[in-house]
Amino acid sequence: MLIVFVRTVIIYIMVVVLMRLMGKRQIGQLEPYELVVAIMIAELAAIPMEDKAIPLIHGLVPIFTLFFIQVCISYINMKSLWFRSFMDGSPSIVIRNGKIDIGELTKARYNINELLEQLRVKGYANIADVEFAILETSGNLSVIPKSQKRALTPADMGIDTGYEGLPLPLILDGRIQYDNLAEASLSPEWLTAELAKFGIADSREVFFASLDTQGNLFFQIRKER
Amino acid sequence: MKLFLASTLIIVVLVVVSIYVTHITLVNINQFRFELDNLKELMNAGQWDEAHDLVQKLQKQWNEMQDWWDLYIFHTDIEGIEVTLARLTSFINSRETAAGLAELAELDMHFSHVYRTEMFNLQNVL
Repeated sequence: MLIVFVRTVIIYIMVVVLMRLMGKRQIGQLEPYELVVAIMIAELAAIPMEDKAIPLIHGLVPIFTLFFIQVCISYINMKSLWFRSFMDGSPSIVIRNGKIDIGELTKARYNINELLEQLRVKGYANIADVEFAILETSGNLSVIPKSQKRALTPADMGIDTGYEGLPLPLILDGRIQYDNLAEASLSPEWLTAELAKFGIADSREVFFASLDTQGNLFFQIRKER
Repeated sequence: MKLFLASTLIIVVLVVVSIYVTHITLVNINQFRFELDNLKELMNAGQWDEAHDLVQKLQKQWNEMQDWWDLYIFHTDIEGIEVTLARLTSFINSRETAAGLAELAELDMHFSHVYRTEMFNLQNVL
């Protein structure tokens, strides 16, 4: 039993490290070849994990080989447009200028119900509101609505808006984020002084604190006092 | 690029080590099977003391090989060899020709099976 435990730990660490090295795309939206790698790795990891008769190396070598192939394909994908289109396919424009392209739908083996469902998921109940719909290589549907049907933006209204950057987390789970403080050119003393204004003596009492681009400090303490 | 180079380096090392390990395994099997042939001749000639010495030598040789084989050979194959070798040793100690030769043939078959499965050829790849 201890052997199975140790084998599981080793394989888990190996798979996590390799999936991490394969990059963020591997976890989120998968291209066909990435999906194949993910499925195969899952299968290869499970077999030597539960069967002690199979040497661990018989699981690790194919997993690493798949990782190597994936890295090679990603690398060639970056360099070659032809190879990228061969491996990933190309996006299909299934609605073009407000008209459903039946040929493209058939080619992608995507039926009208699936198209309508995906449009509804994207918030377009009426197909007449859609100018373009593109079936991406990852299988997602991107929708570009007709200009009259898209959400109103400040630019449409001619309203000038100020710059909105990313709020910087300054305290996470009671721990001061010194890197973010330095990025905002602020010191821990400044943060302590700001918190003191609200009667907080110790930054560890704060669960989360962030600073927005307007200089407003938002915070939430761990427990209501 | 670093990841690509590092993984290429590791895979090259892996392939080279695999080729070397396969070669060593096949050489060891050939040597072992050669000794098994010698053992067969000794048993047929009724030279039991020599057969006993040789089987002890083979047992020692196998123990050394097994430590490495555990890493990459299916454990069921290793168990098969282990059990047959133990039975062969026992039959040689009790000087039973027929049973001993049967075990010897089985042991040879086990090694032949590992040899066939470890050899890099199109048959095994497919």
